[in-house]
Amino acid sequence: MQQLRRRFTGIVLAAAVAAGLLLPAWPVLGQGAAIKIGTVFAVTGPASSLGKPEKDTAAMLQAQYAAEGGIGGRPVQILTYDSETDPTKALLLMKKAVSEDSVIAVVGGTTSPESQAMADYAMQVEIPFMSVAASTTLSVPSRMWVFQMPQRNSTAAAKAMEYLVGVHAKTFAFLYRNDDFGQDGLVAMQTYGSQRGITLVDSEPFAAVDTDLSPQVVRARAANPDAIVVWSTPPTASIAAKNIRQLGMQAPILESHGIANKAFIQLAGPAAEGVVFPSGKLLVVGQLSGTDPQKPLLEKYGRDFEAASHYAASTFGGHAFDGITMLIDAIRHAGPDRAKIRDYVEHLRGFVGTGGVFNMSPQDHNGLSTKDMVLVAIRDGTWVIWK
Amino acid sequence: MLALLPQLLLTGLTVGSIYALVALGFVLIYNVTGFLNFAQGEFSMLGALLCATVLTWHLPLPLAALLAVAAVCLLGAATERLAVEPAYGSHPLTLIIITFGVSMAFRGLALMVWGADPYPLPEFSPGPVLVLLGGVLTRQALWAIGFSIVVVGALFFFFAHTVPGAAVRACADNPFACRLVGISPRRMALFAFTLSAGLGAAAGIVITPITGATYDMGLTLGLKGFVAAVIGGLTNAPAAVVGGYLVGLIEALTTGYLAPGYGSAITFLVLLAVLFLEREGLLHGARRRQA
Repeated sequence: MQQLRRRFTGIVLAAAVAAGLLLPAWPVLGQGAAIKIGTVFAVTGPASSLGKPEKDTAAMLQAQYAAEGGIGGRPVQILTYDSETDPTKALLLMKKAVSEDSVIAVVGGTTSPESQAMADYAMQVEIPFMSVAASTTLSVPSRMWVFQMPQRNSTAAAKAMEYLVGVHAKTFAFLYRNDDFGQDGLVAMQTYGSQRGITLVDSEPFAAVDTDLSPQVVRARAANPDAIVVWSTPPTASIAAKNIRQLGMQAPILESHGIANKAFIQLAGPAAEGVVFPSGKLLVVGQLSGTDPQKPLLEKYGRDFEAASHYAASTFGGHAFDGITMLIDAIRHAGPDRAKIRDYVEHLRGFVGTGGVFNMSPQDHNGLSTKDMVLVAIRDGTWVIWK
Repeated sequence: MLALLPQLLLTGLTVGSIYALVALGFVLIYNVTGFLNFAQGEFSMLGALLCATVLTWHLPLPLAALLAVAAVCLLGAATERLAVEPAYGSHPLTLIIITFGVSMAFRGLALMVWGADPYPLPEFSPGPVLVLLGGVLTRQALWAIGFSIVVVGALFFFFAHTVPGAAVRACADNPFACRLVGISPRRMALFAFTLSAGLGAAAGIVITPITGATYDMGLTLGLKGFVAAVIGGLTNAPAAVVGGYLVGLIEALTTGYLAPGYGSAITFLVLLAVLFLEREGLLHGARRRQA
């Protein structure tokens, strides 16, 4: 009896192993091998509020492509990996996606350090990489296999400068978080300012963990600037706005695209009123003119995303949307081949995405300009287009 | 240059009151158990985030704060019973490392539950800021400063004039003699953890209207509170509060007069100086317990 059972177990095991070996081959018989795209986002970890909507966007698109029946009879498979906001993990997962799972292109790199690591690897193995991070250095200078979906930090700074011009400021003070993001902003704002005859009279760095920025604000106040610019994300972005108003400064406050979420308004409270910042158009889609080329797409993305994920869409998920749809468009027109995809994307003109209307070229692998951003003002705790 | 001074002093007091409150939690546990609890900052973070969540159930702020503090007290008790208690008798260093682990676990948990976005709490008594000597002080800063003073007073009264307070002090002095007269040092340790968790949570709630609450706020708070407690000698509650204000003032003055961004560096330099000159202050409690 005992022996019989053992032999039976052996047979079942052997059958299971055989089935397991055969299983991956089955879809090939039916409809052609899947076209695989890898996505690596910071679904968990400190940047999860960005990575989560990115992953959910990928899942939503996967479902849509499955319903459409794939491309040319071949199913589309979007693989998702979680980098946990760790550049090393992001790189390892990208390597796994490329070497083990044989993806033909990669979208991801939620934060700039993750994207930098992934971009270097994309250059090594020559695979199209659509970065969803905003650091200017990701696409300046342009690198063969690396494309950038969000508006660059320098583009956001150029848009922000339009506000200082608009309020006829001659001088400005600059408070910034002392890291890549803030320093990027400082250099860009100083450069664009000097082009427009607007002088930087004081710059004050602070740390991401600071809880009170009054000393920086008092120093900036002593320089008596026409406007005060803050380059950070909440909570320090909100603390800065609060401290500026508490210390009685009435100068207009301009902040960065890093405050494009409700957390800023909630934390800054009344001090958020009148703060202006550059942003992608998704935040204010309802107020866009009917002739805006992005309006129908933004409305559809917002609707679809909310239906699929049960929370409001953000610009971050939009960057993942642009990266994936751009790749799919390339595969449709140029075929599922790494080099052909790259060549196609590099010459893509007038591609309407959530981040803007992309006009790629060999010199510009971002393809967006200040026209793709709007200046948004905070009024009565909500976002309105600033004119 | 002198024109900056009033504001820098007031900012130093505001930030210092935050550190002072966290430092008190360190001192409380160190006094009873002879080791440092590095999850102290996490208790503040949990108090603040729990309060923000309870507030969304449309409860009044005082009730929400009370519920959050009570919940964190329970967490503090659980920390002592489940993580620390099984390791009693080990080297104090082992116990300290355990509390490090607990703090990382709490931080990871908070990230999963609340995400990375900061949460706000409303000011306790909204209104215009107060102008003092040309500097401004927010009403919430007054709450924080007042709270730290009240807590020091209450702790002083508790330790000096009540029987349970005397029992806690006795445990710190001579655990063996305590057992002989029927005081359980382990029960006192449980009590110290519960109390300092509640204290930390209350501190977190008081400062959140100023700073916002994020899952990782406990790390900085814990470090700065630790520095404040060490400067104060680790066993002396009023001295720890003075240490907290000292750290806050050093940071504000460095940022204002030297260069922004050097605040923390100078603070840690002061810590090193204190440790070199007052090594006894940090270690004698631990050594005494082993003896």
